[in-house]
Amino acid sequence: MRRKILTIASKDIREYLSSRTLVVSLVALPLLISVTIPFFIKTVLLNVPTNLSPQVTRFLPPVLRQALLTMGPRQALYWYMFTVVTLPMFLLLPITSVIVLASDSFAGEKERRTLETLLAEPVSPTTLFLGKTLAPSSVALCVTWVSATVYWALASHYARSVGVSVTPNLVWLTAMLVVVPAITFANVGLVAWISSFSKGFKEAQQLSGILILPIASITIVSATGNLAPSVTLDYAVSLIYLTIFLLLSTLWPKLAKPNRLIQ
Amino acid sequence: MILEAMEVSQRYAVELRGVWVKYGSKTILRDINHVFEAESSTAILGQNGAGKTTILRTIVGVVHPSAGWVKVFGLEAGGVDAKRLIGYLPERPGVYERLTAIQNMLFHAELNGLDRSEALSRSRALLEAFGLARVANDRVHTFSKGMKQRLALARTLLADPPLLLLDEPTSGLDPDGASLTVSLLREKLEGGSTLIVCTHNPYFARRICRDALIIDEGCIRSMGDLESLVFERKVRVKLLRPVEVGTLSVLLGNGFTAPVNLGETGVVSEFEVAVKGGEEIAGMVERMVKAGLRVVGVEPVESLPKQDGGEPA
Repeated sequence: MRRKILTIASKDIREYLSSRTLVVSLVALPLLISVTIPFFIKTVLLNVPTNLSPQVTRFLPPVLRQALLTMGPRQALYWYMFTVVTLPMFLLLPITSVIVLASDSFAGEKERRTLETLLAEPVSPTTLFLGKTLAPSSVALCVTWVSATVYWALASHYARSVGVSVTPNLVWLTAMLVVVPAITFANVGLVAWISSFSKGFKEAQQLSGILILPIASITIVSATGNLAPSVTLDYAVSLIYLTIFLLLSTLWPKLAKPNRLIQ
Repeated sequence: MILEAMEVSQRYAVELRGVWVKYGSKTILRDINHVFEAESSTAILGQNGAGKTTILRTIVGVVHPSAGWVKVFGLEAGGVDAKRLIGYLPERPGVYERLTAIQNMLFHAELNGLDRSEALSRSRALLEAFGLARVANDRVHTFSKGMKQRLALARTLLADPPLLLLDEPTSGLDPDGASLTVSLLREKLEGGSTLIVCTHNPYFARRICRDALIIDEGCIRSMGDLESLVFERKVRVKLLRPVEVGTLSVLLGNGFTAPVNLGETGVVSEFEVAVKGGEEIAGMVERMVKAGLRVVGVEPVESLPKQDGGEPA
């Protein structure tokens, strides 16, 4: 079973890599987030005053107010922007990659008339589902982790210029190593599910767009300062998404009847 | 397990019992009951939309019947073990265009459980056999329709399955490709494989199949020996002196059809008659002689399909 899952996944990855358009769309957003955002933060924070009046401080998010107790306003803002505000954006990254890739998993095969051949192979529905989810998951994880590494290299470089050292804290590490895989697998499962019942790649992609909403909401709430990322939140989000994935991988083989798949 | 099951029901390669298939509210197959014996070769013939492709899809298990059951060498159709015994060529080649020919072959070989070295050697041998060795490392999107069909046929034979289900195997093939396919399939039949072919082309079917199954509106209309079921055998009769068409019609019955270029005289000295076999020819000649006609020659004419058949492959 493991060998067949890997065979299906490596075939899909080979197909992704052979499409220049797909590779460009996979690289564009991560590049934008990991390179442009640190540069943008650095540029915006250039003119931050060295002292903040108590009236201004009163309206700042609690995490930032706490940081201001141990460092200057510019340093605290650098730390806050690089460590707290940007984190949810990296949770959006795997979802966008997944939507591009996983919507192709079944709907693409259907569109290119290869699904019937694949369904005729001696492969169980569970193996097929896992093989089809492994390829987009591994690519999305790699893309996210590489982007985060580039982001942190630039962020720590820019932060050092104002005399503050920023490194990924426990919340970040948990997010990258636990939340990102959970979100990735669950969303791949959801998109593959949608894809298996869609008539074509575009329909699957449009329907899958809705999956961005939960994490986009977290990003917005977090940016307003009303939700501070924490390890507990990381685990809670992971648990929800892992449950979704487990449910999908159990239910899909039972519900995905071939008659519906090849129509 | 597969071998045990095969020993139990070696006689039947495929059994379809009371099979009904529906796509949504549309009924495609209606109460299909048929047995394909092991080592047989059957052509499924019928018009577009008759349900030929759905029969193959049901046997492979990519379509589930809404009623009835299908078994492949005694195993439930659609299961992993049953699929291992089938080489399936769908209506469209279903090849991965972004991959190379050899990558396509290796992918399917690995899904069929062949180890890497065996997969590689079998893939190369089959690509060679189908004349694709020189393009083995080219991406399939650069291939012509016929080349894609050859690749799909090569893929079908990869795991050396005992049951071959082929849907329009000569679609897009040039005459050389069709002949190559015929000879490779004959080789497989001699090796003990069972062959079920869906085709519109009775000329291709007669080159590899012994039996025929005629489908119409989702039902089996007739089945039996392909030659007698699908083709009309004719002989050309030459008489010493012309005779009236009316006399021949009475003597020869339904098998006789008056020549198209019949002159105003209404008499012929040479005509064609449809016959079933040697005995019927002897009886026919006897009747003509008894009626005083002088028969100077009876020779076979190339048999033609009874219904629309297309050009010879």
